[in-house]
Amino acid sequence: MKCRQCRERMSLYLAEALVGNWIEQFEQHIADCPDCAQKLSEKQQLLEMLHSLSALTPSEDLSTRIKAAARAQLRQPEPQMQPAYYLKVAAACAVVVLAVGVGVVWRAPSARQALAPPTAPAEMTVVVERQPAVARTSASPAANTALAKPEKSVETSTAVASLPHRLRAESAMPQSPASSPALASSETSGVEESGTTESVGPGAVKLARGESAQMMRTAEVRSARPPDYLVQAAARVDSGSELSLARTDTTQAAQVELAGRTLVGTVVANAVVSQYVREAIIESDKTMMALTTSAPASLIEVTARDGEAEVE
Amino acid sequence: MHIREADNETIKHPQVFVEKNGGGEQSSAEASTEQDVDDSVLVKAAQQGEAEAFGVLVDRYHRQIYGLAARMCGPAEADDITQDVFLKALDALRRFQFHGEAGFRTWLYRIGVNTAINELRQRKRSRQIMGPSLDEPVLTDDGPVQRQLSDITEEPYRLTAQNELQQAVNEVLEMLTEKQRTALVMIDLQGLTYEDAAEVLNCPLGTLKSRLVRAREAFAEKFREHEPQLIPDGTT
Repeated sequence: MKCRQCRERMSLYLAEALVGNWIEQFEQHIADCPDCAQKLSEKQQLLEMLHSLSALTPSEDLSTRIKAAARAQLRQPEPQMQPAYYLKVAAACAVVVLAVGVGVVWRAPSARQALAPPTAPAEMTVVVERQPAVARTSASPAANTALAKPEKSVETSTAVASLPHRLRAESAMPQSPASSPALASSETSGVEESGTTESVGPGAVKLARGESAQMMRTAEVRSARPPDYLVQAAARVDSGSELSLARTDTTQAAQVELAGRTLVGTVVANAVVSQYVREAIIESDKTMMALTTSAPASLIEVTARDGEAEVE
Repeated sequence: MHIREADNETIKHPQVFVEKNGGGEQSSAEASTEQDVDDSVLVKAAQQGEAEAFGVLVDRYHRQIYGLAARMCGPAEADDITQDVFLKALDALRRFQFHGEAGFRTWLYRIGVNTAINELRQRKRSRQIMGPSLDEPVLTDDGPVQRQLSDITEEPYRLTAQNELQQAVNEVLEMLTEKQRTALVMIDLQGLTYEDAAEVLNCPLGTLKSRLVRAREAFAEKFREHEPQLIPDGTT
């Protein structure tokens, strides 16, 4: 370990946030480098100064005053729910009912076809892998009859898929993947087998995974392109975003790449917000993020939640 | 009364918390028994309206909540904030909004942090509307300097408690962001464990440590910048 690396990690070490073999390397460097050991000692002294500060003490009668106020509060009648409370509850219920209603209408294929905005065709490469064999097929609706071939180790083909077509096909698919002839041949079978679905295209970064919760559990999304491409793609979609790609997989693990670096965490919540928007809250050991994918805009947008998107 | 830190103390005589008329005197035997009663027993009794039980919780935790409030918002408002925290807690207890999923202390700290942050935000808003308060330090090139106005609300016990270092630490804390200040106060000044602090803030442990790292770095930088004379020996 170099001195620069050591000093960058001093605060992490003191906060017990250094992990893996970094701890051993750090401690070894401190043992060998008097300058860094001195720097560490200075940081420790400042912390010890904070720890040694005596507790600030309240006025002696504070607890008496609090208890008197508490008694007075207890003598008051049991707090009743105010009419305003019921109004708020009623308003919340109305919003939920409205949202569900809109969602039902939106999920209806005919309504969605009518409401779907025109979107330029996006080139997509869909790769379906099976264990142990791997097969690649086209995602194009026209090419959906191309079957995955698990008996072969790798087979590839590429086609251009119109994203709205793809989504319409997925939305028409019920929970049972086999009931959708349009997709059962390629994506569905691959997803069912816990395979990998991959999609990247110029101007569009689209999660190519199934629509149903069942398929969400078994789909894994990843990019075939190097992170630098994805950073550029994300920047084109959202110039303010530092984040580039997110993926979820079968085990509820999530991996988010932030400016080329990777965070691994756990999907703690999944919700289909509407037909075209999915949201997943991803909690990693470093941060919590919300992942939103919006199909009509053909983007993946990962936004920091609570201002804590950071990579050490 | 001696403060107990543990949340899981042995239950000995929960029946002792039947409210007495006007909260009268208790025998020393009863008083010593109170300290051994588990928080959850006291909470249940308080939920039934027993003022004595809630009083024990006040005795047990008011210093810690005061310390949190004083570090977060300054000592001048800490008494009021502490009282506010306990009354909010009592109100929530009466509405059975505490289900024991977290320890009572953690839950109380959470109310304390939220109340302190609300106070800070209110101050910020009032500063934007009314301009700076005369009680706030003036930021100069040499760091924050207290205005030379006598504060008639300062009482002797506080003056003795606020030595130069305490005041300097509080002033530098004011320069940190809310999140940084909260993490630093809870862990380095209030002595909460990482796990407890993460539970109070309802955030992952990694997030808490990340905030703490940033908070310590920011604190060290500002402390060296504004209070170099108070840096411990050997620290430059």
